Amino acid sequence: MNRPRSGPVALAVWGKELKEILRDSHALTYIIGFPVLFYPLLMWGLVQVAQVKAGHARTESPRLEVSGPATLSQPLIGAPAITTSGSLTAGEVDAQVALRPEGDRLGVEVRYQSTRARSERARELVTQRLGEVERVWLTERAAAAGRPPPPMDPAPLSEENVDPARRMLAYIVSLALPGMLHLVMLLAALYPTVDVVVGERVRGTAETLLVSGAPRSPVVLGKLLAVLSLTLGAVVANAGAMGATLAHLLILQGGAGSLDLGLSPGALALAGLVCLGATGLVVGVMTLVVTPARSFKEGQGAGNLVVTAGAVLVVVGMLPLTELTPVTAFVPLANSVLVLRSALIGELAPGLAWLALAELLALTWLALRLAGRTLSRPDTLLG
Amino acid sequence: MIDVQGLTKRYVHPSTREPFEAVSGLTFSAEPGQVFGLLGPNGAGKTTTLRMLSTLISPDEGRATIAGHDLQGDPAGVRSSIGYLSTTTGLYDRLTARELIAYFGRLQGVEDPRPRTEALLDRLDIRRFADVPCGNLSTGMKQKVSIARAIVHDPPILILDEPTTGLDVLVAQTFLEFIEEARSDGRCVIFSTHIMSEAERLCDRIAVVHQGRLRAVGTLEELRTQTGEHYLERIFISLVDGT
Repeated sequence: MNRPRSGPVALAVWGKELKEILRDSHALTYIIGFPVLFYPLLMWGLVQVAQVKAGHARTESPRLEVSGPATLSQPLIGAPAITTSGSLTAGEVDAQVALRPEGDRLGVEVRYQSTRARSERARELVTQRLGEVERVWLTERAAAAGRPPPPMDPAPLSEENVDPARRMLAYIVSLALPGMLHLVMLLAALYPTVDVVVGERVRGTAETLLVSGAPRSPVVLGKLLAVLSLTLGAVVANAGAMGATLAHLLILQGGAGSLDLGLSPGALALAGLVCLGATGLVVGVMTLVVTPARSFKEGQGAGNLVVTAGAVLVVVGMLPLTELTPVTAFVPLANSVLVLRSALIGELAPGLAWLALAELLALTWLALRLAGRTLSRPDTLLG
Repeated sequence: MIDVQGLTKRYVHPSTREPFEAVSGLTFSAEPGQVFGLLGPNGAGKTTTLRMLSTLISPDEGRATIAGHDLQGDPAGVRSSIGYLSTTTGLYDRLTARELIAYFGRLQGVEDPRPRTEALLDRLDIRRFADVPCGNLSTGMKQKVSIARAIVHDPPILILDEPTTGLDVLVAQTFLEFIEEARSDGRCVIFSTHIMSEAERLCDRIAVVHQGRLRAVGTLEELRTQTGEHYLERIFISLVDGT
């Protein structure tokens, strides 16, 4: 008679657990339905709000601050534009236009903010009226020289987007996205862990499993890997849905360039590894805490404690003033959030990221080892 | 095939906190092609004995060898040699009958469980609901799938813990036929029951257990001679009342 080998047993348990959980409508709703529906719905709502705001912007007169010769300014300041003066970044004017005749050429500089619809409208208006400004300038020069106006040569237009919101938006994304992903990680680990661990006891299948010839360690390994896979799947699905929603929003708003993220593939890969370590830790601790539960209700109660404690650590990592330092690199989960945050704005210190990864892997190893030891005891599963 | 010597299991009573012996110095043996019955009232120690023999719990004293494997020295070897069934044994509701049988085949080290699974689907007449999730099966169908699950690795020993308790007559009949078939296949079957008619019909040898102790062991004829009673029910009462 063949003795079962560890590899095929772990693989069989992993496959069976995945199959079972993915056939559960609750799990599907939780892992796939939520990200696929929630973020696009959120985006749709935001687009509606943005369109209403853009509609308002079209009916409002763009406020221009024009500097340069008065005769050249004239074509720019006709209705619907209003001339005024003030700060662009404070929203007192919508665009600042500087007209500089320099020798044979007319220099035109426009400063605007890409994330304000009214400012975008002001920039469009200036671009449309630039030909008329140049025609006036050429006519004036030709009259002064006593010769006919030369053919028009488009004036060089210099545009400067002075929008602080570009940087601010990136900052907000870097604050919110990592934290949200980690909260998803905590919530996503709860259901499969309870199902895989407590479900075995509640449904009376533990006995069957324990008297099978399968060695216990690979059975436990298969179960932990299944929960890890599902949690990672949920994190990736949520990250994908969030990313796609954000990208679509930016495209609608005028191009992906309006989000000033300093992404680098290396930093993102390192942050991904750290997130993987955090997922392992969440799964290990969740399994350890949920294992003694004798019912689904008890399991969910115990798992919710992990979610709550984890959420506190995640929020610590999300606080605007918290930064990745040699101290915070040792705060589990907060460190993972901070690594991802730093990676998103291109400010990741690799040394600290590796430190956080080493700490998370050590804790994960400890939690999984304790969880595995507890779970492989027959009396644990039998209850 | 099964050799049990002085098997003992102690627990602490949950309410009085007093230690007590759920099974005390049990000794018996069973051979291939034999159905060995553990007969006793509720709380006699039958389930504890079978759980020890299937490595679910460890004995505090005594030893046992199952198909040549020492219970405590080689529990994995014991598990590979047994098929275990009880009425409380659950199935995975979201797996189909076919998937479940194949899954346990893999857990038992069957290299390619598919041919064996297909053969069991035919043998136990479960092919027509082979692709139905176990959660949607009737009790009788579930029991057939349980049987297939227990024998997918072709074990020489079957340990059945009150397999017919709570089942209707027709489903119980399926079990009894399965036990008879296992005996004719040369397997050693050890099963616990408190239903006298089942023991009378099936068992080649019977052990009467009461309050964790073995009261008598032997064939039905030997027990009749020992007690002077004819019917098993009377034999059982005389052995248990002699406490």
